[in-house]
Amino acid sequence: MRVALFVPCFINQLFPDVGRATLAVLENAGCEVYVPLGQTCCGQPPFNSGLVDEARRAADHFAAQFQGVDAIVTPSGSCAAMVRCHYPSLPGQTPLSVPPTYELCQFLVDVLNRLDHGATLVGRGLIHVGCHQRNELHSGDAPFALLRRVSGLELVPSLSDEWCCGFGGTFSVNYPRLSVAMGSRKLAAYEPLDYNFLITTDSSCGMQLQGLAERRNQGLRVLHVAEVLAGAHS
Amino acid sequence: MRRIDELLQRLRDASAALPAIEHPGPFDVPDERDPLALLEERVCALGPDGESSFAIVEDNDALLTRLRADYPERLRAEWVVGDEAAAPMFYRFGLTEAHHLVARSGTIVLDVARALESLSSLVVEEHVVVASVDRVVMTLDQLPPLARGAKTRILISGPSRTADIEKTLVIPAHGPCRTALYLVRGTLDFGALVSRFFSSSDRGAG
Amino acid sequence: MKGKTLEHRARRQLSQSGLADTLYRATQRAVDKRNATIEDHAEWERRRDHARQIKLHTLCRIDELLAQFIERAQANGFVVHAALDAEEARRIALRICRDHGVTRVIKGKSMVSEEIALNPALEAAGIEVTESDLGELIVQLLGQAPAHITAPAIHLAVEEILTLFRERLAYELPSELRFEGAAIPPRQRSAIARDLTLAARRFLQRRFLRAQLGFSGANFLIADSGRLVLLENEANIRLSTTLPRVHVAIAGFDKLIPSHDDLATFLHLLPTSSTGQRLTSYVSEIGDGDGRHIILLDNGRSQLLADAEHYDLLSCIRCGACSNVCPIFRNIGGHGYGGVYSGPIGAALLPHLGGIDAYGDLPFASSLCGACSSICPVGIPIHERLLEWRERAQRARGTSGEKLIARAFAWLIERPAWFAAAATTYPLAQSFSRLLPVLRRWSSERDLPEMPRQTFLEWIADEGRETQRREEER
Ligand code: SF4
Repeated sequence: MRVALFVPCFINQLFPDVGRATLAVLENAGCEVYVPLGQTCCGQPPFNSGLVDEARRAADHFAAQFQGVDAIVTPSGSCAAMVRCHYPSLPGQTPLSVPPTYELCQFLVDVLNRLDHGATLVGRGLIHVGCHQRNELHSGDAPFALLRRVSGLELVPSLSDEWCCGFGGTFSVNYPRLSVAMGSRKLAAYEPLDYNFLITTDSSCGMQLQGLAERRNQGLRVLHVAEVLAGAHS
Repeated sequence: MRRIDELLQRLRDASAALPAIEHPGPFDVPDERDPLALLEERVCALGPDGESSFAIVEDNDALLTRLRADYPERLRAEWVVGDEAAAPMFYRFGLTEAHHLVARSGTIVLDVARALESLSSLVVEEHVVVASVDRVVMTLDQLPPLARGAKTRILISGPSRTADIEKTLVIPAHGPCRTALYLVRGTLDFGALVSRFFSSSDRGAG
Repeated sequence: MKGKTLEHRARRQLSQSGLADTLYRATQRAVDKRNATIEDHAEWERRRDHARQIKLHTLCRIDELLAQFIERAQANGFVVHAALDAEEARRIALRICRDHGVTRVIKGKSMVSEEIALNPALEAAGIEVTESDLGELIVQLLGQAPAHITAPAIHLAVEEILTLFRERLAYELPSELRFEGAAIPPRQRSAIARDLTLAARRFLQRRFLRAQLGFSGANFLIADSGRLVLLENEANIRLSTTLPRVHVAIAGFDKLIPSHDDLATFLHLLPTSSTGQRLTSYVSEIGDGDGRHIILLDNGRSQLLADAEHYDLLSCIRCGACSNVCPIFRNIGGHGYGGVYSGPIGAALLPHLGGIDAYGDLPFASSLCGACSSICPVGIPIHERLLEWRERAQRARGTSGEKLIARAFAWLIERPAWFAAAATTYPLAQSFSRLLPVLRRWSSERDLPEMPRQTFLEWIADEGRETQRREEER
């Protein structure tokens, strides 16, 4: 299968290991992976601010970069949802034509139907599935299906599993009080639990939760699900 | 009337550009469970602390005997007079015929000509309901239309309750604290039951 | 409303100690109960679609169906009124009170009556108004608005209600429930909540018997039977609509459903979404008109109906589930929204009903997590409506700093080399984070991640992977 890897701009910039891990997982799964160097951003930031014309320009650029593949895969539920759920509603003269786009876990489970990636991670992990993965892609179970096959990993449920981390893109800086309050509640529910790390499907959520935890000296080691599946940890 | 026409005109104009969407038709729910068993489970679950009871009896005579046994003191003439000090507007209990019962939600269905006629299910401490077993349906979707002559339908699912203070469940709020459901196999003759139950000549106790 | 943006109110609400704790506890309990009650998820999803279709069907044929409702309701003996706005609705209500010489009114819970500010109007006319729903009575005695669409007193702790009842209902705590200090010990909380409920019950019983007129809302209006449907748990609505001589119901035309056969689906969805019950203790489907009054309200709804992008907001059945899962609501409560309706549906609806000037900031105050859309029993994509509000707000605004930044950002997006170059300023920006407002707002309470040595795409370029792919294609 010919797959193009889309590494969202902030992952490219701040979490390159997540990109490398995603590439490794896809190649291990037998995909022929292509990484267009001209890729930038899916356009979600202007879109979420209501600036749809700017978002459309981003979408056009995105579409131009990712042609001629069977699927586009990205290690972010939020960016995948932008392409899958919101691109069709963007204004413009011509319809946008983009190959089917998937979040990594969704792709592995729904398209490749491959749950076991031979990964090992010993320890107790909290899971945070990004809200767009659950509520827009309706693929909230996929990460669990994959993580349950990781040997040595024990999943730790929390009361706050389905709560939003409070990131929300520009929301996090436009409404910092609310954003921080939301993330703090989520973290507070982790406190009584016995865990070694937090596994997330979206690095942006991870950045929010880790940023909050670090400021309070609440130890929180955040791993992206791709890093776990790539098995580069023990 | 003028205002009504004006409102309708506004709605006509406003909805003109909306996409035409068909009615989806009836909703169908295959449910393989035994309705009677489920009804018992659900009625009892609605009053886990003894606020609900459920019994099936063989026929009308057995029902009468059972009610006399369960409510002996209530056969006296003053049975309807409540304890003024505790609850000035409440009767000790009310006896009602249910027209239908809904298993999934543990619901008692009363069809009445006027809402006022349903007071025996409302301003009472205990609501005693009798019905025939063949009036049980699985889900609300399967409820038949209102009984002939009835204009109002009351659905009752459990005791009167509130959870407005810190989500603490308190029973009752204003209506009955207890519901007792008696089902009869075969046809229920409610008129005869009532007159025999309350008639002085046929009095069992008191 | 000057200066009263949501961020402003949020600050006030967030600073109320214990408010968010109380809200999180209560809403989580409701959501957990809901989730536990839904046994068959496939059926639930089918019902949601079914309900959405019924509602959208109703809205596209609303004029015919409402005309049918009016005709059948009149045949049932109801007196039907139409009110184009709040002022008119109040006038009709007052006229009915005057015609029947009413001085004491008992009310069942009704959000529409809040919307038209009915109570102050009745009180100004010298009429005694008593809210009979316990939560509603509590907020009435406090002089507050309801803090949640279905659970008006959700924001209050037992302590606050105890103080209130002592002051207003001459309530005395029975000796066996007395406690030391300001906070009620945990194991006594529910006993005291119970006793407070009984005190309210005693107070209300006299009010039920004295009232000459009962006022209610309506959850559904059924077109083919001309009946109105009311859901409740306490029995206060049954008492309010049965005991007094006169009954007046007020409802937006959006409460309409086409047929008696459609009711079951909504009865399945509403209570489960609201409180996790399979059905509320009571459902009254009232068709004995006998002089009962129905006031049909527009008040901005027909304008929303004409909005083909947003009209599905009128299919809301006011279950409150979207508020229960909303992280914004859970932190600031209903009073943080500054309007009658609250939660996600309030944020989408208030700019329509109350104007974009007063409520235009609500759609921006959301992380767009979409939990509301996922839980909504009639499948309204609420968070998408919020997104569209943002788009509309931006169109209405002139050139702003934000727009210029977005335009520059879009320009960069189209130019990968520039985009990459711009990103290299991050470490610099980070070291000046105190000076840059955006970063300052981030870093006042959160750390920023460190910049890695090499970006992912730089690494790919070094490895030569992309080039390889391109060459194969040629
Ligand atoms: S929008 Fe949906 S979830 Fe929210 S109150 Fe209305 S029906 Fe309930």
